[in-house]
Amino acid sequence: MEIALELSNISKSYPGTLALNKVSFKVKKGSIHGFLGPNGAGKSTCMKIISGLLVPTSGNVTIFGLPEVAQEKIGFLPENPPLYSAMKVKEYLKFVLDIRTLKGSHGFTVDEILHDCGLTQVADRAVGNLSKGYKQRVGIAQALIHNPEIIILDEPTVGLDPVALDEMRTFIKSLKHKHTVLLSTHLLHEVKLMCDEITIINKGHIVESGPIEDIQRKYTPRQIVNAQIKIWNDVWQKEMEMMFDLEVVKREFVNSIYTVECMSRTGKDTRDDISRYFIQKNAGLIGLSEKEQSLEDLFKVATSGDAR
Amino acid sequence: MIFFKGIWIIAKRETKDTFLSPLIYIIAALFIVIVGWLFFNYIISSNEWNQSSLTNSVIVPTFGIMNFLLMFLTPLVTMRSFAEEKKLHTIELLFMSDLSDVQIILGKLFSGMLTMSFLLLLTVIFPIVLAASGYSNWSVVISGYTGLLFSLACYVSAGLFASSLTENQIIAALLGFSLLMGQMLLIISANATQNYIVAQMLQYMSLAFHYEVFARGAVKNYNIVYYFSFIGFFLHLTWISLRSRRW
Repeated sequence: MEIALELSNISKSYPGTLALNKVSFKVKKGSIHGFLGPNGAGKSTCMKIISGLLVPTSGNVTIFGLPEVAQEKIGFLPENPPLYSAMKVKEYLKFVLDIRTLKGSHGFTVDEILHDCGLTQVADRAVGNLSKGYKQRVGIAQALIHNPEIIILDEPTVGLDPVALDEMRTFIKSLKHKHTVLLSTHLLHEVKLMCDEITIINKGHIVESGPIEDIQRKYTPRQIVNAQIKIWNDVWQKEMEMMFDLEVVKREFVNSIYTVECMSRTGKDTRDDISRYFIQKNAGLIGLSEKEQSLEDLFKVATSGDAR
Repeated sequence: MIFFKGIWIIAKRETKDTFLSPLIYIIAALFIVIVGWLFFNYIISSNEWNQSSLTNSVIVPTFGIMNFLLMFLTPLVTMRSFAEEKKLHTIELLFMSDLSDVQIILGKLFSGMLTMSFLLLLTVIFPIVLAASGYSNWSVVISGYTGLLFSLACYVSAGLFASSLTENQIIAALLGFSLLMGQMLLIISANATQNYIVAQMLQYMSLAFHYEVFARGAVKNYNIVYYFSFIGFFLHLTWISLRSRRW
C-alpha cells in the first residue's frame, strides 16, 4: 500500500529539552492512523512538524515520497481550532479558502464544505457564538477546504457532548479512503472504533507503531480464554490444567453463571480444547471467547517506561 | 499580482475586524476631541489671521500635536495584530496558508495604515475651516499630511514588531510605546550633548527631527531615506520574530 506520510528520525530540541527523539513512523494512504501518547509526550510537536509549523532539529518528513513539507497537501486542525470569533462561518471559510488557494490550487467551494461538515444552518452566525461542537466542525472545515490529501486532527473530540462526539466520529470515518487521516486522541476506545493503525509516543520516543491487533497481540503474548458455564466442579480445574497445559486464573459465580478464565502456559490456542471439554462434561457452555487486552491496559503498559 | 492579492486579503480582514471593535471609535473620539480643542485654542490665541501667521501658529502646531498623539494611539491599534493571532492560534492558519511571511506583515502594515488614516481623515475638517476664512497655503497642509503618513507607517511598523513579540496585547502596547518614546528621547539627548557630531547623529536618528521638516514643507531626500529605513528595519525585525516561532 502506498505510503502517504513518513517520518524518519525526526528530532526536535529546545534549550534544555529534547521534545522528540528520532521519531520514525509511516502512515498508509487512505487510512485513519491513531496517534496516542500521554500529555507532553510530543504529539502536538510532531504534528506541527508534519504541518510545517515547526522545523525539526534533524530528520525528514516525506509526503507521498517528496522530501519536503508540501503544505497544500496537508490540512491541520490544531488542539485549539484557529478561529476568528468575530467572523461569520461563511465569511471565515471564504477567507481560509482564499489564503489556501492563492497559488491556484483547487479546493471545495464554501457551500460544498458547509454542506459536507453540516454547517449550512449556522453559515451566517458568528464563529464566536457557536457551540463547542460546531466550532470543532468549523475547525475541521478549515482543514478540509483546500481538499488536502492528508488531514491531521489534534484531539478533535475533546470537550464534545455524546451526540456531537458520535457525529464527529462518523464524520471522521467518512474521510477515510478519500483522505489520509492522522488522528491524535486520548479516548482509546475511539481509536479502536476509527483507526486502522496506531502509533504510540511517550517522552518523545515512538514506543509502538503498526496495526492495532499486532500491537495488542505483542502485549498479550499468552492467550486468555473466557468461558461462561452453568455448572462447575473443582475437580475439573486440575484436570484441565494437566490436560491442556493451562492455568485457571479466575473463577466467578454471578447470576447463576460461572465465569472461568484460563491462561495458556504455552501460547497455544486452547479454545477448541476447552469448548470440547465443557461440552463433554455437560457443563452447560453458554459462551466462550478469547479475552483481548483493552487498549487502555495496552496504553498503560506501553507508556509505563519499561515497555521495552 | 498574487503577491498583492495576498496582502489585500490580509489587510481587508484585519481592517474589517478593527472596525468591528469599539476600540477604534474610542481612539478616534479621543483623538479628534483633543486635536479639535487644541486647534480651536491655536486659532483663538493667534494674533494675526494672515497666511504666514496661520501657518506658523495654527497649522504647524496642530500637525505637531497630531503627530505626538498618533505616536501614543498607534500602539493601541497595532497591539492586537500579531498578539491576538498568537493567542487565538490563528497565526498557525496564516503560516499554513499560501501566504508568505512578507505578505502577512505587509498586509498588517497596510491595514494599520488604513485604520490610522481614518483618524487623519477626520482632521481634514480643520484645513477646511481655515479655507473658509481665506487660508490657501495648501503646500504646507499637503506636506504636513504626507509627513504624518510617513510617521504613521513608522509607528505602525514599530507597533507590529512589538505585537509580534508577545501574546499579551497590553504588553504589546507598552512595548510599542517604549520603542516610540525611546526614539523620541533621542532628540532630547541630542540637545543635551556637547559633542556636535553625536548631537547631529542622535538628531538624525529621531523621527521628530524628520517630521519637523515635513511639517514646514521643506522635505529633503535624506528624510525619505530615513523613513523608509525606519519602516524597513522594524518590518525586518518583525519578520525575524515571526520566523523564530518555527525554530
